[in-house]
Amino acid sequence: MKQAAVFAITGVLAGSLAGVAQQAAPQPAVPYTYQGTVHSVQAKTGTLELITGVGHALRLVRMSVPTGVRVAGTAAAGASGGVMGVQPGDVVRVVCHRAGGRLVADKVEKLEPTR
Amino acid sequence: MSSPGAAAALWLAAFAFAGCRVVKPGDPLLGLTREQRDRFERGRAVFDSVFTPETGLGPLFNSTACGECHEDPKSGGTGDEVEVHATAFRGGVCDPLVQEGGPVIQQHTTPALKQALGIDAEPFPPSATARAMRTTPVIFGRGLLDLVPDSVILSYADPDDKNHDGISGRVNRNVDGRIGRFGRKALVPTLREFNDGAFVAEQGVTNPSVPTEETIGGKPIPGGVDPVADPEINQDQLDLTNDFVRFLGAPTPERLGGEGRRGREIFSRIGCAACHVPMLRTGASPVAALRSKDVAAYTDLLLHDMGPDLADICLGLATPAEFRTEPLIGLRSVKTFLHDGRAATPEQAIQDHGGEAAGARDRFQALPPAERQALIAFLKSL
Repeated sequence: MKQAAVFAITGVLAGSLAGVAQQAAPQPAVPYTYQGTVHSVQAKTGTLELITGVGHALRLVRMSVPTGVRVAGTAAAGASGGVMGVQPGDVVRVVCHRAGGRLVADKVEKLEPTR
Repeated sequence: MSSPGAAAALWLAAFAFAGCRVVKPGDPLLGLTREQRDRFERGRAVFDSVFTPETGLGPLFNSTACGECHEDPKSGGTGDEVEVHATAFRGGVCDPLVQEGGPVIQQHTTPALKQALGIDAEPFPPSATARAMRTTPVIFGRGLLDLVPDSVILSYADPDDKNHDGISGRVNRNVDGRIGRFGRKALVPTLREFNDGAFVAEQGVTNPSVPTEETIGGKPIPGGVDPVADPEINQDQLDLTNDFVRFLGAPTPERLGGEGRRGREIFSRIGCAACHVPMLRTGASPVAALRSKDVAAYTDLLLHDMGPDLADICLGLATPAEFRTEPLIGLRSVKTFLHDGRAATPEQAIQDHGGEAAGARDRFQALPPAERQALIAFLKSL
């Protein structure tokens, strides 16, 4: 299976599990929504790795976070700029698009557990 | 009604009525529609299907069929297979080691993968801080547990032990933040996700929910060793399997005699029921047989610290020592006890409890032999 299709299906699944409505695809970039746990953050390269998956079949999704993208948080979590606003173990929702064979984040939102 | 004949007829009628409502291990839920029972039977056929490399097995796998492990005494039951999980726990954060093939480390390879890489199993992750052995649990009644509302689970949580009873259950959360309940560490929020993921993690069978294979220690599968196009089963097969699993009934506990009834009372008195909550109630469902039902679950679906002797891997928010309270549904079908099968008897399993369960364990050990025996008789009726 082609990698793009894999990302598309996984992205749709992650979106639906989170109750996030997929937007109709604007041309030409198709948005993907991932919700998962931050595995690693590379500030130097602006790279974010998320743990997603279904059941015990977990997967890593790697994406770049451009410098202009701010990390939005809940009121309690605050908000901070750039990929350094998150750390391993944080749960985030990321809207991204595919460019040049890579995922690029458009919006990163840090989530807090709902009790 | 006074004549002996009429009384006997009434007793027989009552017996027949009771008999037809008994759920044996492997039976479907009571009250399924004809169509649902049909899907249960067709789903069992997929559950018991033996996969081969030509039909999607592998290239890494733990077993060739769901029913290969979950087989005793019927499909959905236990089995003697033990699998390996690995994660790393550093600085209070759990790394499931996806980049090294975790958390499930498959123990078998297809002939093609063995030929390509010369391996019989997935390499154990070099960064792992712990190895966990996992036995095959019975999955009877899991469709009922699937429908216990999150609010009910949260109502039993007491993460800071505010009531000072020494029990501080807390929820685990999936990687996306939702409350988990399935798996020995309660990572997985829903039964469907557990099953969909298990097809890939346990059998290497990709499906519409998980269309990608596991990596091999974090590295991609070599070309040419997995000739079957993904997904390797279709949505209909996946849905049927899920229907089989969610429609598996919770076996009716065996009728208790005096000793068993005394054991049930002791179970509550010494504190077992603080975590092994005897009864949970399901919430809404389009399936009437699953909707608003009481289930003798004997779990709170929460994580509890079980002490250092039982500790193995972390997973999600669960620390190495934290485990989800094991449901005791169908316990009479279980052959080895605790998450890794280390206990040969229920009595030994109780004695191995530590951490938050140490108090209940100590009270069990302090019981007179007849009362310990009564409690075990009760457990063996479940």
